Amino acid sequence: MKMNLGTLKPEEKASFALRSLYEKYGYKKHKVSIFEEYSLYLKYKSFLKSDEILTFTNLDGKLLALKPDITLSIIKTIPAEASTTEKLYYTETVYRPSKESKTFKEINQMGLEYLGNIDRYAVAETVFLANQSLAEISPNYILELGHIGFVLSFLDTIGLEMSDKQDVLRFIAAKSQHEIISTAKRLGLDAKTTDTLTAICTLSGEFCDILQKAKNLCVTEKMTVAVNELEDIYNTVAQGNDNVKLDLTLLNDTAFYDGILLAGYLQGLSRPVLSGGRYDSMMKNLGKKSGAIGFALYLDELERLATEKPVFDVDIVIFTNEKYNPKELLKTVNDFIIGGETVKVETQKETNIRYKQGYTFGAGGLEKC
Amino acid sequence: MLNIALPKGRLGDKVYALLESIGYDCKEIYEDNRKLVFVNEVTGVSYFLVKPSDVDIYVEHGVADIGIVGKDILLESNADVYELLDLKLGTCRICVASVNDYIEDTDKTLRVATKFVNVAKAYYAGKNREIDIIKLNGSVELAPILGISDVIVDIVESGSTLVENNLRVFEEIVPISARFIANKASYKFKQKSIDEMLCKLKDKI
Repeated sequence: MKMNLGTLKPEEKASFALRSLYEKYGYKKHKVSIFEEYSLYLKYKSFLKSDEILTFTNLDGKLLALKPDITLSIIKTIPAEASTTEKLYYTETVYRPSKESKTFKEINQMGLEYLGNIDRYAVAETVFLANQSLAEISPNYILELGHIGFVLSFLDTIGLEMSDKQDVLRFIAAKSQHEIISTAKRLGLDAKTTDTLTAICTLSGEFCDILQKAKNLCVTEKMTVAVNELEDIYNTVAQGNDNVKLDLTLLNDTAFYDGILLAGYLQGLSRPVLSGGRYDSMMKNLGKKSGAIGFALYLDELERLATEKPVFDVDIVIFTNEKYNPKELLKTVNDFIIGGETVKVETQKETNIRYKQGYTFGAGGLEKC
Repeated sequence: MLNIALPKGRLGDKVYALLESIGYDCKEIYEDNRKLVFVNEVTGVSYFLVKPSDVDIYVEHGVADIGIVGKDILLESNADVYELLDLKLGTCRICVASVNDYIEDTDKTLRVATKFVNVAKAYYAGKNREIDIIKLNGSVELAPILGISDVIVDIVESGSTLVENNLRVFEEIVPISARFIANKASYKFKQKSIDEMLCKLKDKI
């Protein structure tokens, strides 16, 4: 009997395709428990997207949480050393508050983590797989690369107070040149610094054009290192791929990531479906002596991808009447299914389901309606 | 096609006139009917007329690629959108106001009546001042007159409503004007057309 993959939802198809993709590149599926000790999040609260966590007291009195994040649990459990590499992927459910409904929401997430000795190949492979993951789901995608070091290093040269720095980061991430200008005025920044900050707000678009603009703005060694790393990745993984863009205003989770950043979008979806990056300092915070890079895909978002709505619920409906023979009926149903049709047996003549062809099945066998 | 969410009312009219002047017209918007969506295939724009406080929601959810919304609404909703330009239209301020002879008693929790709950909370948290918020949806000026609150946090345009009610501004929290916002994902796929519109708008204002 042939498997009918056409009935799968976009998120189910993506899950199958991506498992196969990641396993080809040597990633092992990693299962984590649905619960985590709350103390882990208490310690690293600032690294989470929200500090609202769904908690409960376990039978032994320990306070547990329904996981709001998978990466922290993976870092905690994996003995990543500088000399080794761990390549993992996962499909898990996380629990986060929904902004709209103000309740907790179950989010289906798939992700990939490369932990251990992170060299140029490891970064290139992760970016390559992020690109392939999006391409597997839809040809109309955009993968954006960014580097957190570029903006942070420039802000270090200004020496801002923490709250002012947060404001500036927020305005750069919102591409708000007007807010940068008024903040710079309030803080008494000089014209050259203000010009650089407003120029940074425009650093998003075609990879090569933006890279050149970014090179012209480099005033620190770290900014140059960031730009060179991006150029190296682009040349290795994405040269000539118009779906890969550069956005140096991409500043997701500055508390968690500390290098390359990734964000993926699909046409028709209003929110990013992929996000990730390098998080070496997070590894150090959790006592690991190695680096890490990874990304997560929000499979729930794929639910909203436009798909062709089926005209019929099933191909064939068989209405049973009088004294039918169940063995004969089952054989008839199976014959239709072997022929590639979908079948539903109904005992009532009145039904709301939409079907291509109706039959009746009684003592005399099968008859067209 | 660029989908644009415009706020219904005076600000929307001003913004449409501005967009029309730079080539994004859609004549049928003037027709006296109950339509809420107006499309011009030639100029490649589609306008939605929505409640001003809903503009950012339409944009955040990607139904509209771009929108024009007051900064007051953005500050209150904290919508995850790009705020690309200050159109310098509909300018006003969010202020702290109270009755003319009000003197703050710093020994008491400050009672603040407002419809801008998040703006008020953030402002007073920054000053480390303990407050009680009284959420009102309109006629906020009445609150200190009737004694429900000590002060109000509200939009002040010319200040004439305050004067008529024997109130005055004590502190200015933030200046407000109309902002050009874009959905983050739409911006990635339609950057060229959005940047082109932005460029024309910058030249005009």
